[in-house]
Amino acid sequence: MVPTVGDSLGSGVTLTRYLLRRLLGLVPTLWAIATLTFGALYLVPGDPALVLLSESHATAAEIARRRAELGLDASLPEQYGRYLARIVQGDLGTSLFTGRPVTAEIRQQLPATLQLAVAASAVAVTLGLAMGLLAAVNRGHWPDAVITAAATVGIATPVFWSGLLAMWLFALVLGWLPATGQGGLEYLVLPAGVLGISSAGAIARVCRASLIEVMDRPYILAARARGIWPRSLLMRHALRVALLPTVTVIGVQFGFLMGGAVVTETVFARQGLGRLVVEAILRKDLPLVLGTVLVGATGYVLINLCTDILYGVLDPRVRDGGR
Amino acid sequence: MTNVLRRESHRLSRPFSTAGWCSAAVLALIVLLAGLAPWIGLPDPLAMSPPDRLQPPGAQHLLGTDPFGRDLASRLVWGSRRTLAAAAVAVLITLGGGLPLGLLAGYHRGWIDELIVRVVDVLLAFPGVLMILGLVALLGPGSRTVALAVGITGVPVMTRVVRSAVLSVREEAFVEAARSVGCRAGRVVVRHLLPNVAGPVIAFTAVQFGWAMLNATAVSFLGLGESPAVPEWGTMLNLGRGYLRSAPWASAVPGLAITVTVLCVNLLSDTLQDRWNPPGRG
Repeated sequence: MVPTVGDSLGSGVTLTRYLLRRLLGLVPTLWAIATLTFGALYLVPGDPALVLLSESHATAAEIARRRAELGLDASLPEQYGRYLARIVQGDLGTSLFTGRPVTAEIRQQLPATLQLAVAASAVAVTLGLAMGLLAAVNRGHWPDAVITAAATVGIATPVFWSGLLAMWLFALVLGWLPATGQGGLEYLVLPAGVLGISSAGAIARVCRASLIEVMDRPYILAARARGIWPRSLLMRHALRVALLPTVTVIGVQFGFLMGGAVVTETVFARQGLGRLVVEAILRKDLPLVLGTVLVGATGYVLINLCTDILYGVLDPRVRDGGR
Repeated sequence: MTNVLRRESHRLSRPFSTAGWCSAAVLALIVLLAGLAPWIGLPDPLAMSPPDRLQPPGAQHLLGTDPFGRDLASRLVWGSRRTLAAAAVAVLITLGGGLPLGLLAGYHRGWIDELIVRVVDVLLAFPGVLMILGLVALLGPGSRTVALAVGITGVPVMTRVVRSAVLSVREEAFVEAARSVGCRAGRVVVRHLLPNVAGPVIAFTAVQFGWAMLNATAVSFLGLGESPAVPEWGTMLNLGRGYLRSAPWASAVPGLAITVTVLCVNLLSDTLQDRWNPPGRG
């Protein structure tokens, strides 16, 4: 629990090894993600060249040329090899609809989504930890009941509805903030707030549960018996340990936030990856959809790697034992 | 064996909480209304009536009307059939995939377990909504494909939950005893393991139902489900959001319906979890 002297002496070496192991473990996952998107792109649907040209009455010769252009005339293993090689170089193919590279489309929309996701995460983590802490400290009393109830309702509320509610109240009725669109900070407040609050509930629940569990452990009781003041007890001894499960949930919640961002962008008519992917689905632009999914999954894996590393830094036991 | 006895007595001694009873009652009412929709004298949910468009809730239209003058109360009840069915189908697919895979992985261990765990880990690397959207892109929009996509996306998590439930009971004495008297693997799994993992799996299935409903309605909300004419809660919200200023009820009615249903499902699941997973038993 609380790191001992022995731990901190050897921690430099074990931490480096831990990091290396985590980074190496990333390779098969990323390979599998790429293979899955390749499978989806090439095996499941019909011929992309046909899809592309079906509405323009193309001749057989045109279709054949287009197939050659897209590399569809090669054997499957060859296509697979080329696909992996291209991905490694950062080439995700071409959008069927706009004809632009998928990476260019994504790069154009990424900043807006990232801005929303980061702002929403900040709201979610701050609010979630504060609520969890407040509920745990007042366990069994009314603040706990109110916070637990609010978190339960929050988890059940779909973002697309809470987003509309917030828009109705703060933009249409009170007129404090703009309802839709892009621009300065005032355009970010509502979407980020709604999205952040929507995942704060889950963080609060885990934070509360793990804090309560830690506070019941004997060493906390021992520290209390020694007369350590409750607040420093909470901050120095309990919170550090209780943060561990919370960090994991925050990683998981980031995936939830990415999904929520898709919906939130639609609600608030914001630019971003969510709008990109929804429009791409409606236009049957499969390379663009799967490219976005690939980038999203990779981002999610990297975020979870970061929370794992943070976990290892916070808890020396994780580095030594197991995977 | 004492373990099992203790669990049984625990199960009996802990009654349903008030929240558990209330949510069960509300859910029963919702399901009852959905089942009785054709016989309770509702107006036609598809009949458009331009003069009646965007009427506020009142005596004539209990919950008001939508932008096409269709009765919202009627669309809400009719929509519940589609919305509940989509979530139910999705959960059945999730269970149909996750239960056998989890049982197989948890009971057999060895390379099968290793393989299943690896595949599940990779699939879990895709954030849920992105995976659903990717599948909808492959299968094409529509309420059936949405349910299928949501169901498939839930399989990895379900597999993991079932597997860990199996791991926690497979070393118990009664499983050992069944094996030692010569029960075949199939019998051990069906007669001895399945009833003992049923509790946590049912509780998780309830959570998964709420999750499926939130995601299926989200995808419909994005316009990838049915056509706007068909009553479905996500599609109704999508239609209503364009009239937020003039007719907030058009989006509030389906929005509240989704929230209340998911809330009740989650509360029921919490209650079930408390009963089957007494504190101190992971």
